[in-house]
Amino acid sequence: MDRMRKIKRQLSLTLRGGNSGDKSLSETISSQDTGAHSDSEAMPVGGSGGLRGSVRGSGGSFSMHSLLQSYSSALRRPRSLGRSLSSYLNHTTRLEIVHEDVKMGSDGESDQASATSSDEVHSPVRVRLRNNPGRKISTEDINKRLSLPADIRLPDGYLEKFSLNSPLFDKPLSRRLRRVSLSEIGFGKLETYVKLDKLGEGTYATVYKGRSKLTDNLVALKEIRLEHEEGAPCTAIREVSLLKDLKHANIVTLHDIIHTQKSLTLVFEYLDKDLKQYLDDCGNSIHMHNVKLFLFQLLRGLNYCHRRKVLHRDLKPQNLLINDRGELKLADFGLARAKSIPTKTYSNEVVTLWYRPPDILLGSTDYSTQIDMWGVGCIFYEMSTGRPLFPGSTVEEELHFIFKLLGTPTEETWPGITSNEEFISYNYPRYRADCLHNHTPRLDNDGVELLSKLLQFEGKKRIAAEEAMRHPYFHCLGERLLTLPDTTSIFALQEIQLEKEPGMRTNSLSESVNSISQRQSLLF
Amino acid sequence: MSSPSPSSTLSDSGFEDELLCSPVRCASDSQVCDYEDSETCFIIQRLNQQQFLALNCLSRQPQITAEARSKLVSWLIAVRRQLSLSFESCCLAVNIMDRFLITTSVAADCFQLLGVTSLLIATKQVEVYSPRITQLLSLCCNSFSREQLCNLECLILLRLNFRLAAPTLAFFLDYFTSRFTGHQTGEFISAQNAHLHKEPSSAENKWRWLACKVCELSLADYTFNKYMPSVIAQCALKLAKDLLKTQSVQNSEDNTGASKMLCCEEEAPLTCENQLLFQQCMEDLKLLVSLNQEAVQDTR
Repeated sequence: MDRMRKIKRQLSLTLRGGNSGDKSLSETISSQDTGAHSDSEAMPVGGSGGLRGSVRGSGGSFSMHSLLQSYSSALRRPRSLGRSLSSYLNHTTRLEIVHEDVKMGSDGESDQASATSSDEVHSPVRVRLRNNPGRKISTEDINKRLSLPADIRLPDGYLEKFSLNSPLFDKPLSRRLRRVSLSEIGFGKLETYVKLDKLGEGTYATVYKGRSKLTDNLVALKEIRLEHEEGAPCTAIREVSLLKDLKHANIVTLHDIIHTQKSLTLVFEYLDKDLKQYLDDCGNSIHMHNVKLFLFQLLRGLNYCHRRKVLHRDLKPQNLLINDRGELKLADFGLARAKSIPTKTYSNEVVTLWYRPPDILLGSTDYSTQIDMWGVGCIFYEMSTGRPLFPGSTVEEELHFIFKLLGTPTEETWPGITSNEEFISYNYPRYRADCLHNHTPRLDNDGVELLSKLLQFEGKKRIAAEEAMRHPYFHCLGERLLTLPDTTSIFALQEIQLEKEPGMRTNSLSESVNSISQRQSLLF
Repeated sequence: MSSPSPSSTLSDSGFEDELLCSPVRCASDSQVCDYEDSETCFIIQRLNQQQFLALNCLSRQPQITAEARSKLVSWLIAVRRQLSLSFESCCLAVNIMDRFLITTSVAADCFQLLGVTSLLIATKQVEVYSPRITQLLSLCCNSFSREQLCNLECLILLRLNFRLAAPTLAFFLDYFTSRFTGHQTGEFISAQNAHLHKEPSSAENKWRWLACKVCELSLADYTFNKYMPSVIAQCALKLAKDLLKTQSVQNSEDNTGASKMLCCEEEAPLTCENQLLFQQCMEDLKLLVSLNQEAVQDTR
């Protein structure tokens, strides 16, 4: 009984937390934020009462479990978990470990974690130490065991501590053991990272350039404020839940997640600039070979997502990061989502306006992976010419630009278009399709053909990412690109080299420009 | 009504191979394209569900019982109707809640907060819009504060390591019904006519409704915690078919529609181990339905 009271108090303390600062009541929601909340008011008391009534009825349903329970006299009370909120026993290994008594909050967490680590390393309860006199544990062993990056530098003394805790090597690694080990090394802690420069600030988050003390590598720290009145932003939740399962050479890597009282910090690998900055630095004239390499990498990363039925839904130059080597990576999965079937109602307020497909502009919420391919086409054009393709400022103007170039759709070119009320209401003039060749003088025939296949009115007619990777436009890059492992960069092949940009500004000037400019790709 | 022939081939082939192959592009036939798309989704989801199974989630809870869980889940089902949320949100919320219960002891007086917080997280993951926190708190008669809910939200996300892409009962239910009937629907309960290729028959609607009712009962019942969502969905559909078959014998006027539906192609043969699990799940569902007769009466 006393133990239960302690558990209750612990959970209450956890939920109550420390004192929060003043909470901002204002809420800015961009039109493209799928996290926008419904405008419906809070439920009236009467309605709530009604719901309670119906709930009481539902509660009356007969439980199979309770029926089975009444037949089983041998059933005993469930065993208690002890005092800890966060203890978790691994049933498979039957390994019992000292219980954590963890409070949320960086100070409390740090102290308790330290105490816990000390207990575990020096005097684990009921853990039998085994003598392995001939065994040496190296950094390589630990990295492999915990799936750490190869270049990590473990804290002083960790190797020695680790040797005492040999169960890590003798038994299957439970999720909790891994978490404790990672915490000892420094993951999940703000002290592990040093903030360097502020890169930008948005509605929900601020992004800093930083350095990891563990690897000496640069990182991007996306600090998400938790004072929002509706809790954690859905953009952050989706980004993490989707991104942590995506491991590809052309997708930005999420290294770590840190929780403090007021913020949730996502630690990403750092890349020097985004594609828009790259274009600016080149004076809007990229070497055509580099255009090809960037486009291929974009398609490669996107194909990986689409094979997993993940839609990015916000492709634009600002969300494509590029490093010195020329590696391009998809970033900002805040608007991404997993595609489920049958088609559910998705928002049509996704994708930045200039890169939004016409079917979405006309209100379609029935889309799949093809939603991203229109954006690829717009980006392909922009890399080739240095100008955005359809820079509209309103939905109506955006559609106007599209139809002016590709022709106003008819029942022949877009079956069903004359039934679209929105299209009818706009009453566009009848434009004939222009020739794409005239607008992309630097592209060869294969490039223009690929661009045309990307810029199709109907989603189902747009070329898929995988098919696009095999298009003749890329044949000069060789076939080995198509069989590389997912986590291998295309630049691992000797024949793949980024061409020098004649118009590229010097590094020092470029660096100072970068530090000033907004890194939009990392903001919400 | 017939399913495309590749389905049997897919069932026979190794899943790992299929996962790495993209569906063949069919520019001319959108029906086949939709089919290929749904098959890929199904294969991915079927492979993923094992790692999201919250087996025996109450085994170490000192205060939360199976009965308490049943009441809370039944309440969440009513809440999701009240707030017009998708069944997928409801299923995902229950999965999030169950997986959290594996990691953390929860006091009985905080259990309802765990339920609504899990629902909030689920809606942020899968809905276009999420309910307001004030709405959710008022449904709990304001027994909890916004601060408590927000703190618990973060705790849940961190404990589950942000792993929220659980394949749900709703997904498999939609998948199997769509495959059997050849219809694409936007939402299981309230079919959206805009997405229908043709209007489903009243028999099909009754079948879907009844199968969903059975799934709701299984969601709230702790006994079904051990079954994979794909197994429960298939068993629920088969049971609904059997129940309607019984009804159709009693009601000759509806016989034509029901018998037409009963010709649906069955799932590919299961392995011996799966066969046993399938039969056990079917028996459990039959018992569950017999205990809750009024819940599955057609009130529409």
